[in-house]
Amino acid sequence: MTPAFDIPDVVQQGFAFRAALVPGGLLVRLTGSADARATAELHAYVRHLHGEARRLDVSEVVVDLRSCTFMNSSCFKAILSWLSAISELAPGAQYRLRFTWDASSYWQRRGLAALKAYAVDLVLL
Amino acid sequence: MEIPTSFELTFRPDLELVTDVRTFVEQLYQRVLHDKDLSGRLAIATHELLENAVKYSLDGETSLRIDVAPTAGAPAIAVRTRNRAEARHVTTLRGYLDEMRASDDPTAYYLTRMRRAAGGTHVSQLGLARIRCEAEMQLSCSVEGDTVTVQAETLVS
Repeated sequence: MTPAFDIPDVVQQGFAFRAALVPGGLLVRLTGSADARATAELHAYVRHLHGEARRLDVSEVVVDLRSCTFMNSSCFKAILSWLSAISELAPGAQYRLRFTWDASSYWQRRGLAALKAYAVDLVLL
Repeated sequence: MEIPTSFELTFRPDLELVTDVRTFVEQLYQRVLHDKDLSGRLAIATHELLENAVKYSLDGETSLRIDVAPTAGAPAIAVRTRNRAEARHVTTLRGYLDEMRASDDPTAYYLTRMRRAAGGTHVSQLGLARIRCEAEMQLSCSVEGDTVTVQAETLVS
């Protein structure tokens, strides 16, 4: 039986976050511009995702950024806080974030390289 | 690129306008410079500086100026924002820039800021370190009265 999954989509003017349960873990798609308008929603959404990932005991969450046109530093902080929360779990309970990204996007290339350097064991590119 | 290209915009940006201006800057300089990575760097600097200006402007008004000037070896590019600000915010800005300049390694400093941001308050204080590391631009500021100008600049090889 598929575990109940309860992460409502967030759809606002200029950005959207959508998550789904997939084999092996969760998939979350960020679309639009993750800027100051999205900061509070993204922080709350990430906390919710982390809770669901723990409850479902997933090994991986795929974060699809290919349609994310930009992420400001405040939204970037939400991802850092997420990684920090994962790192505080017991080693056996930790899961990884696998980013799907657009290599032609400068901010994605540089931002994800920084995330990888920040949490080398938790970030997959 | 032989002809200098610059523009200045004085406005009262809201957060939605910041995104619109960033998009305009990225598209304009992609056409002018024919370099997607360089226009991406300008987009990061423009967005982060403008969001700071929106947050800290005393009266809501901000000027954004971008200059691309041909030099002997390579184009020089500068992104500047100018706005009125409270003295305590100017002090914080100067302290941030002093700390950043004291670190020779932009990536190491950015990682330090990332570690602080991950466990800190809702304010990220990552934007300037991000400009230095990801946009590969040098930062400085100048103050006249209560008006602060923040500049991000680089030479492009």
